[in-house]
Amino acid sequence: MKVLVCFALLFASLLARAEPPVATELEQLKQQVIQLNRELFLLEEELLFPPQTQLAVFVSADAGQFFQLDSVQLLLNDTPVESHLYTAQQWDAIKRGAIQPLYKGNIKAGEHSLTAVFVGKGPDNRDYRRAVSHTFTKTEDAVLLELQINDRSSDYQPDFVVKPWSND
Amino acid sequence: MVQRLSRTLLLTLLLPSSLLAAAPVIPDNWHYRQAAWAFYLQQPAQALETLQLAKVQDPRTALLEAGLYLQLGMPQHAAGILQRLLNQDDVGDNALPRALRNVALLQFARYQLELGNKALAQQYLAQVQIGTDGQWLGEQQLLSQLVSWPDISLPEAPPVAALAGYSEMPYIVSNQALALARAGQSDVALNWLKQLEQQLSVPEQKSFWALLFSGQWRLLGAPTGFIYPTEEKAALGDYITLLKAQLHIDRQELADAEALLASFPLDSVLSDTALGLYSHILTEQRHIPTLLAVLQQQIKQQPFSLTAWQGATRLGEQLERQADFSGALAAYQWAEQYYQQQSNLVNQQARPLQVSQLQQGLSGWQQLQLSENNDLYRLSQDILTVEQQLAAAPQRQQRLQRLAQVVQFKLDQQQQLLSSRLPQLSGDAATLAQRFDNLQQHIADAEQQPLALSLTDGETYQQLRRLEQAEQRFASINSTLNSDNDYAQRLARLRGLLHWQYSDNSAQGRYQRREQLEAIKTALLAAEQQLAQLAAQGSSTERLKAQQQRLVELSASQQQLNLALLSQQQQLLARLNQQLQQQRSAQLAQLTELQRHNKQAMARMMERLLPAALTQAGVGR
Repeated sequence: MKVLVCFALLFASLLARAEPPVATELEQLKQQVIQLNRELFLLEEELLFPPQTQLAVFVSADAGQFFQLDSVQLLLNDTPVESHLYTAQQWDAIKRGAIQPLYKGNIKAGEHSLTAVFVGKGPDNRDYRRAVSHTFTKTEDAVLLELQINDRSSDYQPDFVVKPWSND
Repeated sequence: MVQRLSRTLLLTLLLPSSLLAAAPVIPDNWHYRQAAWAFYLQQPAQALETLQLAKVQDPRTALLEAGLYLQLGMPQHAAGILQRLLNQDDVGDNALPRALRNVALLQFARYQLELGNKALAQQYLAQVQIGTDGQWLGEQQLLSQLVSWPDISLPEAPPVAALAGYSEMPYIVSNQALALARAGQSDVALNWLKQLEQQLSVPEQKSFWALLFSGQWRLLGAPTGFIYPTEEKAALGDYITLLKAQLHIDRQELADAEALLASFPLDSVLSDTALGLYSHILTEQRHIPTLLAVLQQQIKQQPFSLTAWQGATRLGEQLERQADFSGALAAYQWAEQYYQQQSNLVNQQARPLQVSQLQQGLSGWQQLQLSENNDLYRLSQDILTVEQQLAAAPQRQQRLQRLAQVVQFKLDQQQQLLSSRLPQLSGDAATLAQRFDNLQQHIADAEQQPLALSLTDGETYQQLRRLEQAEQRFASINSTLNSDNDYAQRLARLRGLLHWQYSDNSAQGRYQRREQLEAIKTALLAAEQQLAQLAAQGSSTERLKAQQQRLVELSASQQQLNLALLSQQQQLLARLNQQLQQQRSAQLAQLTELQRHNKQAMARMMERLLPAALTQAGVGR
């Protein structure tokens, strides 16, 4: 019978924890760390990547049924600036709607060209390699570009698009 | 290859409008999806940071934020957010969507339950409105059970099929079986557990054709229910077996209980409890040889546990019950040594802990205490969390230093711009503007004259210059010699001719001059604008200085925070060590008590064996 009572109290014992004051103090400290990190991040954005020079590139996918991403290489004005190899966990995150911040850098005002090379597995598990390019003019505002991997249902092939966004 | 591809696709995929068209405004869920990236990669702090930068804080964002706070071990902040969400209007345009409201209510109810506020938890649970899709029904029912325990509601039949799609189903049904057993209906409880067991045991996967031809075609359309991870499924199966064994013991069906426990897996997470039950049955049934083996297993498997320590004495007790007094004495003597060894080990392994030992280097005894005691485990986790924050401090300091260098570099640039380059450039621009004005004035004056030398060029300029020199020379000769008027006429004729030529081209010349003047004016204006921009950059010095000041403040905050974290960690460590020492003292007291009891048993055995030994010795003499 003693064991039976133990079972019955199994959940109850887990729930009967009162919040001691030290927990409150610890939580406040954690919150201060979060705030400090946030302020630091904002200052870094302001100082290291001001809008006048900022270029940021993101990766996202819509469904991702016809393509499995292995890697992305980014070329800015024909010069490689970033490359990323994807783990299964990262690709899964993107397929579930997450947006990956792929690259952030500074560029001069004027016309630029960005090329993204996608490598992975296409329909029927075949090796797939596609590039997509985008030409843009850098002005006073930050340039935000989203590399979208879409499913094209008309021919069951993946589709790669560069979508510019404004931060206003 | 890349370049070839890029060039080919550049032509086909280039978006011609991208150069001119304004980019659409970033969507509201942008930060949410970026936070999701960090969240899926198990970086909750990063996810929270991203989420808190979102411009739009909609209910979905707030819920994720609350979840992240929970993940970071900050339930009070999570509760604050959930409370704010639940305070929103239930109807109207700003109403929280029903599904999100249910999530918030359930989370908040769970939090209140963990704090021990059952009434409040019940109140929030009552507000949950399960829709026709039945989403969150399992969670709601399980929480209701925990709030109302032991007075939980019992349906007519086990909701095994009705809740098959919910992961909480086995917990709900087993709790109901427990409640039935408490109410004296252990036979019904056993029946419910049997049904639960059947639901959990997924039959071996058969192919479509195998199912069709084996006559099991009905299974083809049957719902399979929730698929549990292998480890959880095994633990659930073991838990149900234990419950059933306990119910059989209560019903004095010891053989049934023994049959269940005899095949209980040793590597199960519940094997300690199973061994305890098994030894109880064997004691009741007086299966001494098997019981001795079980007790030895307990001693081996559960070091430093009360069960194992009691098991040591029980070995002798069982032999004593069998009237094997010499065997019992030997067992008690072994137990005596065992207790002494355990006391030494506890004293040896219960030394005060350091933070580094928490990550690796805990003794067996310390590991056991942390794994068995919720408070101790939580304290150790808190210490490790603080350690993580402290370990991140140098990196944060580096970031701060880097930013300070960047600000200083920018300030130096500003200084150079303001002190030397900007005045020099402004001076040059002013000189140019002055020269331009003079030139404009000079051209205007020249254009007033019928035939201005400065407005001609090329051959016309050379001819006019020679004519003017000839006129000057003639004028000087004429005044002294009073020569013939023929020269004057010829000169006038030449001037008339040149004037005629000049007049013929003057419109075109005037147009070209206007164009050139306009071009110079435009260039001067552009230069002025650039200078204005530079001057504006110069005015950002104030902003940079403010940022520099902010960095100094952040650096100071960081140092204060580090000190606070260090102090907090020391407090937590002291508390952990204090509680561990209390555990040690309590366990040593238990061991002393068991030793005393064991010594009494040894004395008892000696009293029994002594007369027999004396008799035997007398006979021998």
